[in-house]
Amino acid sequence: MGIAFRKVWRDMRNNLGRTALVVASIAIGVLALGLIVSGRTLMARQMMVSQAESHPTTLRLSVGPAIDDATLRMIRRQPGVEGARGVIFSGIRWKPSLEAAWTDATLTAIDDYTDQTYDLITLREGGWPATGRVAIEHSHVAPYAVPPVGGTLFFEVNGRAKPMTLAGVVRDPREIGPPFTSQPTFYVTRNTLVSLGLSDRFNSLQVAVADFSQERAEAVQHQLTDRLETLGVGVNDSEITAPDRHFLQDVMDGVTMILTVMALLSLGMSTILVINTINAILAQQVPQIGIMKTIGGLRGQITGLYLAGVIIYGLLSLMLAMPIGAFGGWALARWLMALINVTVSDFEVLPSTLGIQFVTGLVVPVLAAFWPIVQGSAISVREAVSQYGLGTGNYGSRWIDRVLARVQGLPRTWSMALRNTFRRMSRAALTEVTLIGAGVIFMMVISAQHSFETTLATIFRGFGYDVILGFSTWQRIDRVTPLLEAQPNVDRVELWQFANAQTRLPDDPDTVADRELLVRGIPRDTQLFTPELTAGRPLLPEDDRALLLNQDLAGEMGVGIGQRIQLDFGDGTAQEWTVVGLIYDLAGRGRTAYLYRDTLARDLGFVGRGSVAEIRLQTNSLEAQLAAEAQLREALEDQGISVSFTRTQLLTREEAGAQFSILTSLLLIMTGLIGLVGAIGLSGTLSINVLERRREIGVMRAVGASSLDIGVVFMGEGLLLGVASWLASVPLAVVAGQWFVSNLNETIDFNGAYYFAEHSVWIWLGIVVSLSLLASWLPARRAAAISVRESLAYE
Amino acid sequence: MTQPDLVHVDTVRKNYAGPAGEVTVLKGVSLHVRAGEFVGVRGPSGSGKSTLINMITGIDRPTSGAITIAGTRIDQMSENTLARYRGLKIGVIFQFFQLLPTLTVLENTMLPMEFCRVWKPRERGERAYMLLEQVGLTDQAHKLPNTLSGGQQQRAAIARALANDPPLLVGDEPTGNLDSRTADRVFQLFADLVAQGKTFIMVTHDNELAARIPRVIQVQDGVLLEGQEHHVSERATGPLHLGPNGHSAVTDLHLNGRAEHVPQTAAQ
Repeated sequence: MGIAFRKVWRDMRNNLGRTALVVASIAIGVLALGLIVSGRTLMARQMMVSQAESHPTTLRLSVGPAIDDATLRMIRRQPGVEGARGVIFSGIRWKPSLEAAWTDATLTAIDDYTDQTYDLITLREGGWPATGRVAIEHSHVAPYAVPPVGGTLFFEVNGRAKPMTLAGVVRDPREIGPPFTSQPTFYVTRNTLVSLGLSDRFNSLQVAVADFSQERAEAVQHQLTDRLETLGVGVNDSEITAPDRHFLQDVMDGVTMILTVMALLSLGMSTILVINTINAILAQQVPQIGIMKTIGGLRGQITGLYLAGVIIYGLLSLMLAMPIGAFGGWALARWLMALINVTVSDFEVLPSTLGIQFVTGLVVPVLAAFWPIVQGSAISVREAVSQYGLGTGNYGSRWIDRVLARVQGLPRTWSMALRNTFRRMSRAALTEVTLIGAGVIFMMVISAQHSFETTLATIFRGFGYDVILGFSTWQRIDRVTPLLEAQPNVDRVELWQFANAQTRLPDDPDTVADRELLVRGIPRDTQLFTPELTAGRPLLPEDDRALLLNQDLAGEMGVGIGQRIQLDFGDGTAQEWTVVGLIYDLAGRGRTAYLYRDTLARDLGFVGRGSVAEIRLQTNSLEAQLAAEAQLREALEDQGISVSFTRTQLLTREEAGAQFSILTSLLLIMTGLIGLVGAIGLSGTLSINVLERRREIGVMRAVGASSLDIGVVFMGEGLLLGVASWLASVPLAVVAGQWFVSNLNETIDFNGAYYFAEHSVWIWLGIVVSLSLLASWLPARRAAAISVRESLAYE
Repeated sequence: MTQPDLVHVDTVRKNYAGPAGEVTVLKGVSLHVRAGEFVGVRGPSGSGKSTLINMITGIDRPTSGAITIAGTRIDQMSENTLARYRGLKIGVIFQFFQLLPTLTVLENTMLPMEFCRVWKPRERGERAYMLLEQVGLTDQAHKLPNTLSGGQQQRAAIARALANDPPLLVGDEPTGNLDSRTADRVFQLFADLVAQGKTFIMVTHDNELAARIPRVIQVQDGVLLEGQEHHVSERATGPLHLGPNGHSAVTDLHLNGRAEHVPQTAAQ
């Protein structure tokens, strides 16, 4: 090791605090990048592997009425169809023990579990479902307290508990667990369905389109829809997904893209920190640079020396960032994949990610430090060796010095803190950039979360219900309404009609352009349904064939306010309706229309009847909603009215908000990292200020300054920097937040409004003040500990 | 035989921009120093003596005029060329020693050799030891500068200045931060180096030491006071003769109406 290199090494060793600061600064950025890149790589690969292993179908049709085996065989013979599977989805209530309360569950049945070709359900534990024996999706075991394999659970049949044995645990690639779902899925045979009093006919078709392309799949979709229609079977819903893409791939890509941006931001901020710290190191090393030049050191040699130091910082940071990034990435992938029911392989190190980290960890700091080093090493020997004593530099020659000097009335130590804050303008500016960046990102993320929550709250408020009960058959309004109104805690009952329809433009009668539509018939005197419209007007009492259309569907169809669309309820006669308003809701994957119940009833032939009860409660806490849900169901079933589904507003809202809370949790983790970079930056700046002002501290000491006085000067400086950054970050966050939320919405296909979270301003103030005090405490303590002799002695 | 000029300062002016306007620190100074000479530079604070020294070492550049060292104009060299030239031809010794704090005494001594690559790597350590032996510091070779006394640090700085065997040594108050006893020992080292053929120019405020320097130049208000250079010995290349205890008799010399003490050597 050369002598010059030994100097670099020992400078680092002798300044462990500073070395740790630089290493941590680089490491955080590189770690964040590695974590995201490896997580993203593992997720993409694993989703692709999982998708391929499941032999996915590409077209899914939800049909009604359900079809028999002969129809399924006919579907399989259709041109363009490579294969098809019939699936039965049924709602049922279950409980894990006789003492437990009934809750909703989904039953899934296929023809033969041991002979599957598509969307393979795999056995994880125990055995396949058989008569009287059921299986459970593995991601639902823990959240719903399902008994172990071999245990007994109960399904509700005609109000009685029918015991079933849990035969096994399976993985269904099309199922996801909580928080995206709120009820467990059990797997049964068709015979078991019959024994539970349910239909064993298929209500869902999973079709593999031969030689998949989007166009071919759409052609098959229309062809099957037409073919089924001729048999009197309607298609309520259909979905096409490419065979090589996981059905949640787009969402995950969006999430990881945002996280990548955040990782790059934190890398950028750590780069700023490196620039700041290297500048400060050089400032401190100026006399030594002068000496080296005096004894023959060339600028290139000195530059190389300090760049070697930066490379060592980079290598040290990589020792931290590479293993933590690799493990963190794997843990991130494992967590996110578990949420969408994709298995992640055992921990592994991805060479490509390590490569990216290695290059970033070395190249970025070198690039960041290059200019400060080149500039620092350019200092003339005279300037370098003459930096001794107080009063050097040009303090007082800048306007800001003069302005701050005019600030009177503050205690002397506070005046010093104020003037010192902007003494090294570029250093203060870079520190501010880091802190402002952290503040903006924090407020942006909190605002995104707030926007999601407020949007959801607005949507749900617009629907006004606390509990929904769906009936298995049409019910008379004048019978059910008083029955429900008589129940305790019920404030208002409205019976709605839910129906499926095909929609098309009047001037485009070709059925190829049909789209499925979920139609909601609302009472003319509704008090519950008061949605915020995105365009147009609400339904008015005098309206007849008028409707509110989901804005996404309207966009897809190219329909605007005042335009007409045709609705076909399956009887082959289409009626024209006028779109009077556009609505944004989360129901029915954006394929909803709201119109008056009495008008709809005429078309459907169910005048005076309803299929869904929407109920507002007097007390609407979660407990009250859950209690009402059970009690209302019981009251209906006591009267022989079968309930097909129930829903509470708060749980549905929680489910809808789950994907946002996961996203914002991830973003907050990244924000935490960025905040840490900011705190390190601030601490570093102040530490360096202490080093630079050792002599001043000595003089202050010599003229009677106490440790507290010295502490106040430095902590005051930290606080001023923190508060100044807060002031600057607020307006920036308001603007950046809008941009961020809009991009986020686009990524996750959500039409949320932007609401700036005012509380985030005060939370960030609290954080930045705490961070500032914490970050300046150590340098202030160090400054206060410097003795007069020590500070005035030459190094 | 008269030695050739090693240092030739020719009509050098140096201006600095200050808050109150431009200040002329050197006003057309000229100076010749022959090889093997021991030259002292004196003058009150702010007279320009350090600036003159900085011109000679190339640490600073003249506003006008020329500086020639060993026949080479250094004031026109680039920073890099000058740094290398200085490393090879000029050994600089500072008042505050300026040793790199994280390198041992031995490493500080080897550093100029490494920068200038004049010795083979394996020879550098041996040479550094030899130089430290010359200044009596071999037992401190592996210590860090901060653990040494001021005199020891300055001797280490001298060893470093000698690392590349430069013909010219320049000291800016090299004894200014030492007690008189230590200063005396360090000065003796300088005298020995001159005796070995080095050329030495040093700024000093110490009257006793100045009195022992064969040739002393007085700088005042940016000019060399003509006719007031004091030559103690014409035998610049010969050994300096000191008193039996290393101290010389002191003779009063009146400069500018003030009493100055310069040494009277035995050769006089």
